[in-house]
Amino acid sequence: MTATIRRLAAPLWLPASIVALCAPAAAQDLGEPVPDLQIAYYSTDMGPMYEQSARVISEEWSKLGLGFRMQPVQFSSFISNIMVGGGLEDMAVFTVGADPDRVDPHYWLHDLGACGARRNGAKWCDEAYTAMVKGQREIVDQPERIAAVHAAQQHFYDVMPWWPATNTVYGILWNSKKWENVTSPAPVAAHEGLVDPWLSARPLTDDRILDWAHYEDVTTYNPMAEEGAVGWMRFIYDTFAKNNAQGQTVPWAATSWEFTDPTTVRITLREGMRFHDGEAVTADDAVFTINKVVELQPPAMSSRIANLAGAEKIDDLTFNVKLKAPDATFVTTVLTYAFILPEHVWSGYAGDMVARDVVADGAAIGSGPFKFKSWRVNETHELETFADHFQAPAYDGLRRLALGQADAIRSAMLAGTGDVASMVLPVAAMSDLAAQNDFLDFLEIPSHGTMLVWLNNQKEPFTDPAFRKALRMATSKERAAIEGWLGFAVPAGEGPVPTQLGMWHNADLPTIPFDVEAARKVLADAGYGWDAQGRLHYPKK
Amino acid sequence: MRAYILRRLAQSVLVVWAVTTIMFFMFRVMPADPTAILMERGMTEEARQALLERWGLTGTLWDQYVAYLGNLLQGDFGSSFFYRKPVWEVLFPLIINTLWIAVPGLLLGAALGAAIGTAVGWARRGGRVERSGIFLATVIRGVPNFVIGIALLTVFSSTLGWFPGFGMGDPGQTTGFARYFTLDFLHHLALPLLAVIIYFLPENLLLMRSGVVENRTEDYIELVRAKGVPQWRVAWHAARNSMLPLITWLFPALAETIAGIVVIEIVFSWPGVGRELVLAVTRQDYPLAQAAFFLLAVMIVLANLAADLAYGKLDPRVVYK
Repeated sequence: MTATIRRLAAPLWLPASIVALCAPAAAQDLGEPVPDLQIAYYSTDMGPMYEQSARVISEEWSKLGLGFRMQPVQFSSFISNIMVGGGLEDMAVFTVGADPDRVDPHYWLHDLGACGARRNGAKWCDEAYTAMVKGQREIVDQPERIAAVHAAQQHFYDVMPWWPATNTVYGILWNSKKWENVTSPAPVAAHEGLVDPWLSARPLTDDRILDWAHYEDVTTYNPMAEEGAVGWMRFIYDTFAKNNAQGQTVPWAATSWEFTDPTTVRITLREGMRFHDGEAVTADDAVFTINKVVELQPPAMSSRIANLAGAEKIDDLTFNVKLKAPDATFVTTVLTYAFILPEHVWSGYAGDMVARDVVADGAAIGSGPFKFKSWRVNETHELETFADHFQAPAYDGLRRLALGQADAIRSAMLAGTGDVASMVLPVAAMSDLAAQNDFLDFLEIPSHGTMLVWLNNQKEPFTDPAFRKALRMATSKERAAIEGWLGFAVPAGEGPVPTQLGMWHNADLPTIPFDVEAARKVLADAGYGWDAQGRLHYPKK
Repeated sequence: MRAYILRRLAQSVLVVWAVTTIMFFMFRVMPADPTAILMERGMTEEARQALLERWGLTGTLWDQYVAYLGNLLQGDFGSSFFYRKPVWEVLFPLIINTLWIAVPGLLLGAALGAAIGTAVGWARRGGRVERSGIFLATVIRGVPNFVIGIALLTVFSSTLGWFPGFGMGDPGQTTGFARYFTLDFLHHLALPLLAVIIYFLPENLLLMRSGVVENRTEDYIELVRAKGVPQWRVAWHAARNSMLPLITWLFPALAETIAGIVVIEIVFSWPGVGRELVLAVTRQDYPLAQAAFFLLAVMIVLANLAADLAYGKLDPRVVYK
C-alpha cells in the first residue's frame, strides 16, 4: 500500500520541490538573475599575480551572490582588444605600469576616464567629468591645476566607474660588497626609471663597471624610433628635465622653463654641456630636435608630440617651444621625454631618420652621462662614462647583460658577474636571494604602477551606480596585495590618481573600507535580492 | 641522376615555399598585436596606422602575402620590428654563435656515440656492458634536453662552480672574432656543448650498436677473425660497415640541431639563433621569426637532399631514378 502511494506520488516530487525552492524568491519579488560575469586579466606569461589577484578578489565578490568566468588574455591582445579596442565584455583586473610620464595626473584622469579617450576601455562617459579633466590640462598655474585635479577626483570617486586595487612594488637587488649608493634616487629621480641602477652608485672595489643583469635586449639607439625615456637610451641622450618621486618635474639639461603665455614655453639650457663628440650643446640643437620631431611625427612618440607646434631660438642657450593648445602636461610629458639630438650629426642625413641605424652610422651620439661603446645582439650593451657630463657617475661604465631568463639572472647575481638586477626577477625572489646571501642587498620601491578593476560601464549590471558601489565595497585590496602579489604590492588609495603621486592625489577622499555585509545591504536597498541558492537577482522591473 | 637532383631541388623549393606560407599566415592569424606595447604607452591611432604601413601590415592578408613573397624573391626579408634593422643583420652573428655549439656538439656526439655504440654492440650479448649501454642510452634519450641542461647547470655551475652558467663570455673580455679563440669563450662553451653532445649521444649509440650487432655475425667478420687479427680490429671492421645509417642520419640531424638546441640555448642563455627565434615569437616580431623559420626550412630541406645523395655514394646498392 505504501509502495503504491509512493509510486503514484513520485511524479509530483520534482514540481513540488521547484515550487518550494521558488517560494522565497517569489516572496522577495525577484527580477532576473544576474548572469555570470567574465573577468579578463593578463595571462600567466605576464606572471601569476594577475590570475591570483583576479581569483582572490572575485572570491569576495562571489559572496554577493555573483558567479564569474575567468578569462586570461595575452598582454598584446588585452591592449588591442580590451584597452583600446572597446572589447571589454564585463570586467577586467589588470595593471598599468609606472611609466615616468604617468606621474602626471592627466593619464589617470583623462586617458583612462574621459569620454572617447583612446585608453578608456571601461567605456565610461560622463560629460561633466570629461569637461573637468580636459580643462585641468590647460591650467598652467600649478596650484590652480592641483585644485582642478582634486575636484575631478572627487567627481570620479562619487560615481565609481572603476577603481584601483593595488599599487605595484618594484625591487632592486645589488651586490653590496662591490657597490654602494646604488638605490639613491638622487640625482636621477625615482620615477625616471624606478629601479634602474642610479648614476649615484659608487664602486667599493677596483671593478668600476656596473654590470646590470637584465632580461631583454634593447631595441635601438635611435631616439626617433623608440620612446626613449622609458628605455636604456636615457643614459646616452639627455632630456630637458626629469620627474622626481613627488610627481614634480626637476631641471636636468634645462635649468628653467616658464610659460610666457598659455601656448609658449621659454626654456633655458644648462651652460657648458657637450655632446660625446666634443661639440657644444646649444639652443640650435634643441630647436632642431623639436622641429624635426614635429616634421617627422615619429610614431613611437605620437602621444607626446601631438600638441607641439615648433620651436624657435632666442639665444645660444634659450629657446621657445610653441604649442598648438595650452598644455600644462607639456612639462611632465615632453620635457622629460624629448632627447636633445646633435644637429651636426643629424641635419645632413638624407635617409629616413626614424629608421636610421645610428649604431651602423656611428651616430649614437648624445650628451648624456654615458657614451655608447658596443652592442652585441642578445648579449651585452656597453656604455662608458662621459666624464664631461654635469652629473658624470663616479665609475667607468655600465654594462647591460641580456640574459633572457630568470635563472641566468639569478646565477649572474650569485656568481658576482651581475652587480645589480631589477624588475626582471619576481620581487619575492629578489627578497629571498638577499636574505640568503650576505653580499646581496634588496630594497622595495613602491611605485605608481596600479592594478585596476575595470567594469563595462555601458552594460548591465554595471550601469547601476548601486551595483558598482557594492562591488567596490566588496573589493578586498588587502587580499589582492597579500595573496595576489605575495605581499609585494600595497593596497591602493581612493580615486583614480595613485597616492604615490603626492600633491596630485586628493587625500581628502574618504576611505571605503572592505565590507561585504555593507555591500550586500547596498544591493538590498537598491532592490536586488537573492534566491534560495544565494544567487543575486536584479530588482524586479 | 641529374633528373633526380633537379626533381628533388624542385621539391625542396616547394617545401620551403609551403613552410614560408604557413608561417606567414600563422603569425597573422594569431590574436596578438605587435603595436600593443606602443598603444599601451599612448600611441595615437594615426601613428599606429603609419607604423603598420611601415611594417607591411596594412591591406588584406592576400596583399600582404603577395608583397612579402615579392620581397622574399629579391632576398629582402624586411626589418625586425624589435631591433629596427634588417633581419639578416640581426641573425647573421647569432647563426655563427649557434654553429659554435651545434657543429662540434653534433660531431662529437656522433663520434662518441659511435665509439660507445661499437663497444656496446661488440660486447657479449646480454652482458653487463650491453645492458648498461642500452640503459644509459634509453635513459638519456627519455630525458627532455632542458632537464639535461638544468642538471648540468646545477652540478657544474651552481654546486661545483667549475663553469659559468650563462652567456658566451664574461663581460668586458675580448671582442670581435678573436673572442672565439679565448679561454674565456671555451670556458663558457663547455657546458652548453656538453649538453648538445649528450643530446645527440644516445641516438648515435643505439644506431651504431644495432649495426654492429647485425654485422658481427656476418661471414666476412668470421673471415677477419679467422685471420687471427686482434679483437679490436675485428670490431673496427664491423663498425665501419655499420656507419652507413649513422652518416645518413648526420645530415638531417645537422639541420635539426638548430631547432633541437633552442632549449639548450635558452637554458644556458647562449645568444644563438634559437633563443632569438623564441624571443621573436613572443615579441610578435614577425619578420625576424619568419626569417629564422625560413632558414630552418632551407637547412632541413638541403640536409635531407644531401643525405639522399650521400646515401647513393656510400651504398652502391642505391639507384637513383
